[in-house]
Amino acid sequence: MKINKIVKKGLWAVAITGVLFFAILIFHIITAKPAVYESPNLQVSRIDFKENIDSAYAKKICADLRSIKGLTSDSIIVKRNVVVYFHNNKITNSKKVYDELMSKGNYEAQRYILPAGLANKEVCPVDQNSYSYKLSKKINQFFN
Amino acid sequence: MRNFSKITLGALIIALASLTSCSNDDDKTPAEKPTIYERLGGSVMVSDPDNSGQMIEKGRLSFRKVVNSTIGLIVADIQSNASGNLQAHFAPLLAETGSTQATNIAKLSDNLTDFFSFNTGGKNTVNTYSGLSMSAAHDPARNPRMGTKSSNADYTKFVGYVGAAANANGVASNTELYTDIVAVLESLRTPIVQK
Repeated sequence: MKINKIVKKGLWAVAITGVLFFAILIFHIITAKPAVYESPNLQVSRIDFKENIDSAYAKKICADLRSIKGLTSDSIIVKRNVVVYFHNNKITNSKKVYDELMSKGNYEAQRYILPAGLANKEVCPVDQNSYSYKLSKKINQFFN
Repeated sequence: MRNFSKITLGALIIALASLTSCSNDDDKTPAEKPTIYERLGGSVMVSDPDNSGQMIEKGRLSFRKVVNSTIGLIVADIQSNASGNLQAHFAPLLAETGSTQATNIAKLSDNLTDFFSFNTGGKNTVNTYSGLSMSAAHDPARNPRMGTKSSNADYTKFVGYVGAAANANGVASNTELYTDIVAVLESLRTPIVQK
């Protein structure tokens, strides 16, 4: 009988601790606010040309780039032999932009690819089409 | 007695008139100078050219454009193994992370836009800066997006990039607005320079 009482007390203690931890978890889920960015898919990319770019050539490159879907309204920067542009990575990526630009003119240029050592490895490879991602997003949106 | 009252009344009216005019003169304080944020467009709402269907404060949009142009100019100068450019600080921004999360440049652009907007007069909630302190944000040990610590020369170069970006977005070097923006940047030199 005495053992039963001890077991009961132990079970109660475990249950109360469990409820407490669950309540803390719920509190954190409810109060956590996800970081929201104005343009979360903004990406900057660069194309290096073989020769320096003069003003007439720069105008043509900018016009050709502007005709590619996915570029943002930010300025296209042309400096010496380098062109830097901004794009929405949900719509396009640097390879697609480069390929499209090359098809629009007789350009001699190459896409700038960041050396592996300089790239930031801080990435989270979540598949936005996955069921788990959609479910967690729904739960998060419910509380926030 | 009647004459005396008239004289007293006349004196009172003259005194009142002179006091009133003195009071008017005192009120002529110089008009308060608009904040940098107001001069860049302030809280007037305009449509966001990069987020269809969304509105944005004109002052904030101006800052965002200057911030992005600054980043673009720095990226244009990145050369492998060349000293003097800010490659080590900013190269991670070029890493393509895919579309499954906010990009590094999106985070930096948003943080910088918040910081500058809020601290130059953009007091609406949208501009609230909730990032790290300037000292922590520029310490690689506390901010993984910071490639390396900055020296005085690095920061001078960065201020030059911001100036060029401001020029590219319609703020000429010979204007008071430009001088005021540079003054804000100079006020941040001490916590940012850590090398």
